Amino acid sequence: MSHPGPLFADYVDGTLDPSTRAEVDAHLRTCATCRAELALSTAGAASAGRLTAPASPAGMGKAAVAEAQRLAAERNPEVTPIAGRARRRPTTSRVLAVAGAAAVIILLALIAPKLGQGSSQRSEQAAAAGAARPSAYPVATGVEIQHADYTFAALVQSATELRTALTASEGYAGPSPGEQVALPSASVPALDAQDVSTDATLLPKATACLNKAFDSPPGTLSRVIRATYGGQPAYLGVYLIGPGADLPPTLLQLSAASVHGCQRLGQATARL
Amino acid sequence: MSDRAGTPDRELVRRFLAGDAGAATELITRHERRVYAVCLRVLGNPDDAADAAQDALLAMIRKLDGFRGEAAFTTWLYRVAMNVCYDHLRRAQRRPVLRRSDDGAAPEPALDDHADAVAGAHDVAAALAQVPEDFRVAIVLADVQDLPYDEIAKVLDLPVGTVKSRVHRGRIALARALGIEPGSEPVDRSAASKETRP
Repeated sequence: MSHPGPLFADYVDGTLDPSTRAEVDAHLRTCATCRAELALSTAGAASAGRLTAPASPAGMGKAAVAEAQRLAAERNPEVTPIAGRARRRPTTSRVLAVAGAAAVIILLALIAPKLGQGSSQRSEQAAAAGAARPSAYPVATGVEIQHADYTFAALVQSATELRTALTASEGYAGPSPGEQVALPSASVPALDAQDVSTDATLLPKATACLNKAFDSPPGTLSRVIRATYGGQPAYLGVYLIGPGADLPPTLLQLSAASVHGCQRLGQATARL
Repeated sequence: MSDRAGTPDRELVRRFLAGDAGAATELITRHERRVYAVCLRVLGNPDDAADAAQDALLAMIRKLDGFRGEAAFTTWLYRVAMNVCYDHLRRAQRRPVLRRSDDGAAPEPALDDHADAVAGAHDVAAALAQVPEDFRVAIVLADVQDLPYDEIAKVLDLPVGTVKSRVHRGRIALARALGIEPGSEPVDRSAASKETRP
């Protein structure tokens, strides 16, 4: 094999298929230049992964909000007061129509991130999900970006607190589809609720990484968090494991994998 | 809390184009931090980043009717933001250098409570500014924002192979800027300064 430079990005990420990886490894044993290059690339990736997203300056979006209001007014003359003409009605019905058509899609995403929501609302949401329901347990819809550093102790504590949060409500029958499993902020150093954003585009990469690190773990991946673990960029997966169908989960597993190389970093399990 | 909080980006775009300004406000609130972060890491200083992020959010609002929904909204938004960042970089190259040379390692903004909480992150931010522009953009998207390579290829309109190559070269450049040698721990800067500055 010639110098496998083009493969090094995937090598560092741990996303090469095993046979290609073995070929690269064979080359590395004989090539000091590539070994040095790979060591630098690995160190560079880990260093860049330590950077987190800072808070944006206050008022940064003001100009954009003003522009949005101007453009919206242009697009929607019905809501601009026009003397003596009642033109609001079509707008109202259109908004209702939009809400109706999108309801099924939006419902899952709308559900508040805490347990203990009204159960009638929960069952309506479950009913709306209907045939599209992918699993009896809630499924992660994005990656939460947390500016927090986890340790093994924090992982164990989080798993325990998650269990408490899940089982605390009376007559608990397991979370409904789409319901988010709340991770108590007390267990997470430096975590501020406003400091969390969720990104759906990152989910496939994060899921693949967790699957690789933990060899396709059992259960339903209910939450995915991007944070650091011992200072290293990491994905944390919250898995609910149980008989499925309408029966509540029996185990909760919190698994941490490195973003680079998808290595197993830590795992904590709580019986529910 | 408004009913917009959990609404998908795509639906917010649709509502805005139907005349709902609040939907656009939700998009701005939801993504301003992401836009600022990518501008800060690409441009390297908080003032330029705030200017660029403001421009990027304005551009987002003005171009929303051009969002066709073929790509994920965040991919499209990164593309808008990166174009604005490249404009700022080009303008910065044309204007005379006003900063003192030691401003390159200016501290992160004081309001930045959680950023760079991990040891060494401050050095990384300074070193990142020394990485050549194209490589820097690639590693910011890949390793800071964690975008998959195929998404980065869409953002930058480049073949995936080129993206991977830039990421690899950017990672090496960053490691070198941090004083990392192959097979060594990062250089202890205080020890290094003792040698060079008697």
